[in-house]
Amino acid sequence: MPKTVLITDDTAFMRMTLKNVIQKNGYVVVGEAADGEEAVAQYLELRPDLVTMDITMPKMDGITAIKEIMKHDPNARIIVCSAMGQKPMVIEALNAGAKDFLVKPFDADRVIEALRKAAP
Amino acid sequence: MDTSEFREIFAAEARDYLQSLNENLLQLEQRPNDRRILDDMFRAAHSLKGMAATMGFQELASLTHEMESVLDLMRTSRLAVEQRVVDVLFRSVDALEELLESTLAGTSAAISTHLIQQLRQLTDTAPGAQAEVQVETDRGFRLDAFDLDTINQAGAQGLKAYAVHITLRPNTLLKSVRVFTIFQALETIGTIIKSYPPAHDLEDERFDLDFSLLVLTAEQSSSVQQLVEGISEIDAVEVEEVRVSQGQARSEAAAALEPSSGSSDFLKAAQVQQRGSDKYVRIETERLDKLINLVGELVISRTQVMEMVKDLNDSDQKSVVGQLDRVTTELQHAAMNLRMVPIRHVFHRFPRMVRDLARASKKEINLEIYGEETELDRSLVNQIGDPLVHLIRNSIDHGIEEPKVRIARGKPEVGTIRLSARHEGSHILIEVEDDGGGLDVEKVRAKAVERGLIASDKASLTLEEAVDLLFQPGFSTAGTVTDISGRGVGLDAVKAVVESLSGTIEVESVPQRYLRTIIKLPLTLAIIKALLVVADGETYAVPIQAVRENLQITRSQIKTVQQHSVIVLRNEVLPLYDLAECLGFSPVMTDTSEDSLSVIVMETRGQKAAFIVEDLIGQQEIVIKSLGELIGEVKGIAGAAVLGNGQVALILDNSTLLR
Repeated sequence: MPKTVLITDDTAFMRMTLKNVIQKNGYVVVGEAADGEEAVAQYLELRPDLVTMDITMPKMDGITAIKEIMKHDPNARIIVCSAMGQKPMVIEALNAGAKDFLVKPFDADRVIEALRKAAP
Repeated sequence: MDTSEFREIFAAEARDYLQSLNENLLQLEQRPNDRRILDDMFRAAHSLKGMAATMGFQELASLTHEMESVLDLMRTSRLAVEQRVVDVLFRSVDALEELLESTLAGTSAAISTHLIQQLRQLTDTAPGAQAEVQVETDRGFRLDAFDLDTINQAGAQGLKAYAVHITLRPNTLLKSVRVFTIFQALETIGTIIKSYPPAHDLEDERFDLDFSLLVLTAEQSSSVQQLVEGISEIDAVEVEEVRVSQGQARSEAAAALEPSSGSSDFLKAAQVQQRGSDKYVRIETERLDKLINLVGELVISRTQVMEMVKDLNDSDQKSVVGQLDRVTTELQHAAMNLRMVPIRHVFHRFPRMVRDLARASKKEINLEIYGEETELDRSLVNQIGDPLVHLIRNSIDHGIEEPKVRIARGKPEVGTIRLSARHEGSHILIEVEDDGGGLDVEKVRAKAVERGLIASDKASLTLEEAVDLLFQPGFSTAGTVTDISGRGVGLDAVKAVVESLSGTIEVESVPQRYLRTIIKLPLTLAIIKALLVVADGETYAVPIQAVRENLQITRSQIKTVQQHSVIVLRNEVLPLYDLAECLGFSPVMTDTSEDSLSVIVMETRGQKAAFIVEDLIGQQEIVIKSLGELIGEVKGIAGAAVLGNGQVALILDNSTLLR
């Protein structure tokens, strides 16, 4: 059975790019969230195998969302997405329980490697 | 790497480390069996070495390295904590301090080869010490004796040691974060005890793609391999088991895992950096001064606005201005607080100084420090150090008696010097007190007669008179000139500094019991209370602490003694000057239309004088401004201030006026 993915990013463009790469490689994108609150709500409803999580977002940022999701599901597999120069926040996300990190601009192979390694 | 921009941070941190080494050495003398002190010192030396090497300061790094080796032996109980070792370490810290300052100043500095030899001798002669012995794994991972010992002990608990060699993919972004995920993963199954390159280099991405970790774990090598391979962006992983033969390892008592060279330090550092960055910011003092200056301007504008609305009846306007007033006042306090630093920065050098001087003078002295958290203005901190050094030296040299004298006087053999600081209103009080012989009034009298400061037939002095004499230029009660004090730089110099900081100094003493010197300083120098006076139609500000009193006199009260005008005030003869004349204008005195004259009495360094002024306006808090580069320093003028009404007033420098 193909693995399910929830994409979280506040820009529709980034969601589209990620969705395109992910679906081409045999994963099913079951949800798209535009901020941390949506991500938490959708995670609880959809229980996807994997989550990609942007850091800087309105309403609730990615790090808070990771903490929220990990609270509900300690086995959640979240990959944090950051821009260059967000090192302290990436570390915070990893401490909060993120399994891996991606650095924008995304490299398709890197995205797939991260998904594969986070949920073998 | 261009390191120039890190220079200041390096300097500040390096000084902190040296200070902590110094303090810990003092502690170590008291508690030679406290392992934590040695651990702390080892860490400080280790960090300092790394920083110095990064900056390219090789001499500094290599001397620190020698010191670190000695400390390592001590903390692993291979070298006893003895006075001779501690002395060498003290000298090393001194040498490092000198080396640091000369390196920062850009002057060449040579390390004392003698000192290095002494340090090496300690490491070489320590029983079983082979700090230089290193073992290399097949892949070239260097392990020192300490690592081998740790591995050996871990083996006893059923843990295996693996050298994990990792190569990252060439285009890896945020390499240090990738390393962090690897540390994170490995710490779930074991402990990382060392890394090459060292953790801080990995953290700062000072490596290419390869690095090695020494891991202690109960897992098999294949599980370690799988674990690391499960992480993204890794090109190659090689896990090599490290076995230690009995011959290589020392069988020493339990040595706890030391995280300084690798291990979870990396994780901790990353987390601390995160949290720490929220709490503190290092700011250039120049920027801070600019802010203070702008706030000063704002305070003046506020006062101007207040004056403008004073006569208005519009209550709305008044309440708005009232709000402006409150906020500005708070802003002013907040800005002033930014300049405040704990007096600890001055006090921290004294324990070492007292120790050294006490040993040199063969006295036993205990230094007690109170209130080192008391805050005062940064500019004061820089200047109050030397006067305190002088007072403490005096206490050691002249105050505290030799042990046998103390015993004879029924005092504890060990003398006590108490250094304290506390706030009192808008002032800070700093006290230096010793339980020594106190002020010997008779000795002071004899000396003063010898120096010709008082008439030889003056039978006795009061304590106050004796204290006054102490502060006279060139007075010293030391029978012999010693290394410690009595070099002719007398207490008058101390008084001069304190007064230049708008402070006062007092001495209290009971003979044979104690001597206490109290320095009272304003919390800040940027804002002072001033008396506004008028001379030749212009307003001038006189710092209030220099003003003893003001009074009205009639012309008939002016007497002439040896062609100088004087007035007699409560049986004291005071020279009388005309302020306008002193400032180069035509004197008020010549205008005989008024019989009554306004006079202020000023005092500086024990000298009093009366000045005739045209008018007295009153007291005001003023923000001191410099006259600016174009004008530079003007004799007799300490600066300028903008008054509430927008007028500029020059601030008179009382000390030069009285000369």
